[in-house]
Amino acid sequence: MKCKHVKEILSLYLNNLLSDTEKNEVEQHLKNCPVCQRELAIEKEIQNDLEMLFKEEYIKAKQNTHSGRLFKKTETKGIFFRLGLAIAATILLTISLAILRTGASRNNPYFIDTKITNVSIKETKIKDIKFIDEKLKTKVKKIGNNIFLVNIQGGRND
Amino acid sequence: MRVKTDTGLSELEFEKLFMELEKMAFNFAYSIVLNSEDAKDAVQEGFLKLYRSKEKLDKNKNIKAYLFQIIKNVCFDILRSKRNTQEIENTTIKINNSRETELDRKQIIKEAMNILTTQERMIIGLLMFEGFTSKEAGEIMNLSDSTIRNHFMNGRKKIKNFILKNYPDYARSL
Repeated sequence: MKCKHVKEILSLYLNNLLSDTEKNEVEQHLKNCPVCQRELAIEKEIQNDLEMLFKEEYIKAKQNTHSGRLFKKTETKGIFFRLGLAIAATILLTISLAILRTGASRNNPYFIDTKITNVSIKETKIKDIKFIDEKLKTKVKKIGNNIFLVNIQGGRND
Repeated sequence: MRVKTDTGLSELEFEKLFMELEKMAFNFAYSIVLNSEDAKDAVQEGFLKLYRSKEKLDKNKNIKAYLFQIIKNVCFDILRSKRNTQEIENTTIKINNSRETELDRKQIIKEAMNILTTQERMIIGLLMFEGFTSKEAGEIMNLSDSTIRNHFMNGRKKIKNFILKNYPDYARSL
């Protein structure tokens, strides 16, 4: 066997992936070739560091679990579960913010005591109020002198 | 007369299988995703899928190879979803040739693994850490025995060349 070929297959040799014949040939060559011996030393170093990397990452992963196991039969903690959870949380947050911003929900009429300047009162009964940005639909009911019940019926969340 | 079938794993048998394969499964997943948290998720998903189908598993077939195929697919899904959401861990390769820089061997190896193709990484993972023969690895990867060996050799060669080129001090003490 020539040096070039031996260097190529040293990683296979280290991992017992050669046939017995090839293995013997490599060993024979290594006995008398300092260049290939050094190559083998480098390959061994790489092999050790690879093993070290994987070992440390495995230990790290196990340390980050409560039970020291990487699998729980009843609990899905996968990336898809987390992604789903994140989406659900975002939707919930958006809805909460929308409710907070409008200050009311469909089923809970809300009294607004701010000045509504764009309402034209030609009749005694106000049918509707349009907000300036026209984003909310309302139903208005007069319930007293200068007191109106404004039922915000939803519309765009923002 | 009742015919005994070899279908299905009991809880105990599954537990035994898990204990036996947990580390191997992690190493394999890590070789694909190169991230400890993602590898952990892949192991969880992989074993969960296996657990859910444990009653239908054929003991005569290679359950280990089946599990690794599941994990491989889960890892690919993880990589795909990361690519889609552009959340790929920014493992910027910082090449520093300065001799004064202290060599962080773990980081160097990780950088070197990063330059390999996913297939090369997987094969290195299977052959180095899982105790698979090149033939068994070929079954999981749908590749021939000789192709597996070639990918392994190429992968290891790339790692060596990357290290010697970018970190000449790595092998200086040898």
